[in-house]
Amino acid sequence: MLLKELCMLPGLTGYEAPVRDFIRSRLDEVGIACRVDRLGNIIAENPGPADRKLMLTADMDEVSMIVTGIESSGWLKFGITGHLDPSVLDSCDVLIENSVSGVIGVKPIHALKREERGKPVPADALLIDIGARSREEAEARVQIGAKVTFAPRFRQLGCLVSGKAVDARVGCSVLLDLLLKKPPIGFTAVFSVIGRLDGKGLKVGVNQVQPDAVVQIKAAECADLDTVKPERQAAVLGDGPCFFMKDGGTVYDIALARRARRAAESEGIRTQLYRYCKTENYDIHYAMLAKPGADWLVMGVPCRYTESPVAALSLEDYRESVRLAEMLTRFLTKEEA
Amino acid sequence: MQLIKDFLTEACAAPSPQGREFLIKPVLDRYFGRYCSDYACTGNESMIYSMPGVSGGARIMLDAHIDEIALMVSEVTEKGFLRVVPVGAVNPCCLVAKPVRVYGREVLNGIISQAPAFARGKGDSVEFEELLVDLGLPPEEVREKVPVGSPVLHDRQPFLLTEDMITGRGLDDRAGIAAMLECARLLAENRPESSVYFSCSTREEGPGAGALSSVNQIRPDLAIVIDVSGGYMPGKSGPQQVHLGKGPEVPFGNRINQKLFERLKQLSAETEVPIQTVAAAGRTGDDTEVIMDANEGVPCALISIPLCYMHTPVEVVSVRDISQCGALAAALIKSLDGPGWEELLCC
Repeated sequence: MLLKELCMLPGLTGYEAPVRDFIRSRLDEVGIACRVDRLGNIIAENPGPADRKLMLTADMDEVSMIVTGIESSGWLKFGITGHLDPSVLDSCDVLIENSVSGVIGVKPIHALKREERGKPVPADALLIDIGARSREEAEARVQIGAKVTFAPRFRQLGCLVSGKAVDARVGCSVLLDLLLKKPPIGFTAVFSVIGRLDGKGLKVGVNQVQPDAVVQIKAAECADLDTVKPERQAAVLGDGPCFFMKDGGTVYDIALARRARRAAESEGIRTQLYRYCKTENYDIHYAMLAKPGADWLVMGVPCRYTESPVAALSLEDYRESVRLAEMLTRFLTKEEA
Repeated sequence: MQLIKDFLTEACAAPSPQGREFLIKPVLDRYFGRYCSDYACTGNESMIYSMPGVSGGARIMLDAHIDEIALMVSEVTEKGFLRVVPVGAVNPCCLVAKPVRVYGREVLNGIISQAPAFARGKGDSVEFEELLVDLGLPPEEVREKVPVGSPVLHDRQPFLLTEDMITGRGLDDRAGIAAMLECARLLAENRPESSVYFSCSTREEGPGAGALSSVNQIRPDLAIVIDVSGGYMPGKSGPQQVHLGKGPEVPFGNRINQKLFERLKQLSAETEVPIQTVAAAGRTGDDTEVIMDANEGVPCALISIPLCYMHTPVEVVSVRDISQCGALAAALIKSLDGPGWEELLCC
């Protein structure tokens, strides 16, 4: 499992090179043929027989920020690429251009009026502190446009692993693990770019591969906490990988997902249905335009605290997800279009 | 300044939540032990390192608080998460998506956060009741390993942002402890006549009982309190802003002995240690409050270290400010050598 290495690398939307290079090296090491297209997607071939053109895909990029201004005081202004809940930015550690550490600090409680306590600061009022106390001092170390991620960290807690980009890279990690096993069925693997915004990389990947069936592997955001009613929890960590039923713009083939779940069950693989839809997610909605009529299955590894420095998943769910991905290659080649 | 950096690198990685400050004692022993020959512990577990002076010299207590802001487990939920309450003033906004360590029967890694946006109710305010600590363990194991009342601290290692700026959990008030250490180092090379007691006081974020127990034990003639104060950051308004890197803050006002304050100003000019003087109209909100009116009353001087983002995991201070604070305290103590120090304290 190369999840930790993948998560510790910076892979911002549009700047996925460090992650791409890492994945390419791993594929080269075991002799898996791959190329990089004009947008930066990796397109790799797992050799083997297949009755249908099968594509498995995962995004490489993570939610990130970019420095948009340097104040005269030495603090930095920033913008966000992708979607995240700004409440995770309060008092967090960031890393700029993979080398300059910064903190996003806020006014202390003593300086707040009573009614201001508990109210998250809006993202456009937050600033990054790199320890500079003048514009000159800041400009000597950071430029406008500098790329910012959460500070890389990977921890184990109980049966979970947690860290920056765990949710963003789990799809890549599962797909890479699958390729390294050299499963018997032939398929094309696309590690795509710009997943965090609207899936332009995925659409271009589908344009080129023109698959009959696609499996996208990503994280499935869970809210399985005591503070959330069961009907709003979406998925439960530990209950196995999820099948999504829809995204923000389109409904998937639910009957196909149910058949896939039954096939998984017959092989002793636990799965669940994802019972909520995140409305910002439109990547399949656009990618479906590239090959109308293709079968789509979207599977997610259950993940808590997505798009935060502490995204967490269960190693047991991870292992089930790799088994499920392999099973789906066999399942989909038998399915009729 | 290397001493300060080395000390903070260890101290900001060690735990000292209110009520369990003794957990950090090995670090304090190792550093203060280099310069102080004596040690005593009070009933409220304040740790006092001291260097004896000559007879007739003043008894001077330095005070910095060793307890840090923490959370405390109030409940284990059905699913095996933890609910927490703050120990000290904490804005729950700084507790979203943060790595923590839980000090139960064993030390466990955890994550504190709230439900994701799609599952939250209306409104965006963060509340303690909605925050949960995730240990990644089944509920039975959590109940066995984490008793109610266990402290929870941020899991964050300190590090330097620049050569001078350091960030770390608990710089409030390890910055003050570091300044006392620097003072001890200077005095060890240049021994004063006064007996000097460095009190690492407990429970400042609570009732201040640690500092009071130290005063009762030491019976000092005067006290020099070293705490942190809110440093300037963009968006912070109001008069008398203090800036990191421009020297320690030296307040004056009803809490502070006027003559000690004037002496500090004079020493600042003489030793070229820059200070930022601030008029403190009301309370100063630190151990001065409990020391000043203990027993027959104790004249206090207060030197504060400007600090950004107080009571959050990402506190930032300037190492040079700490060094200058320690130097100023040492200069004040040395200036009380010889006869006549008693007159300084008369009104």
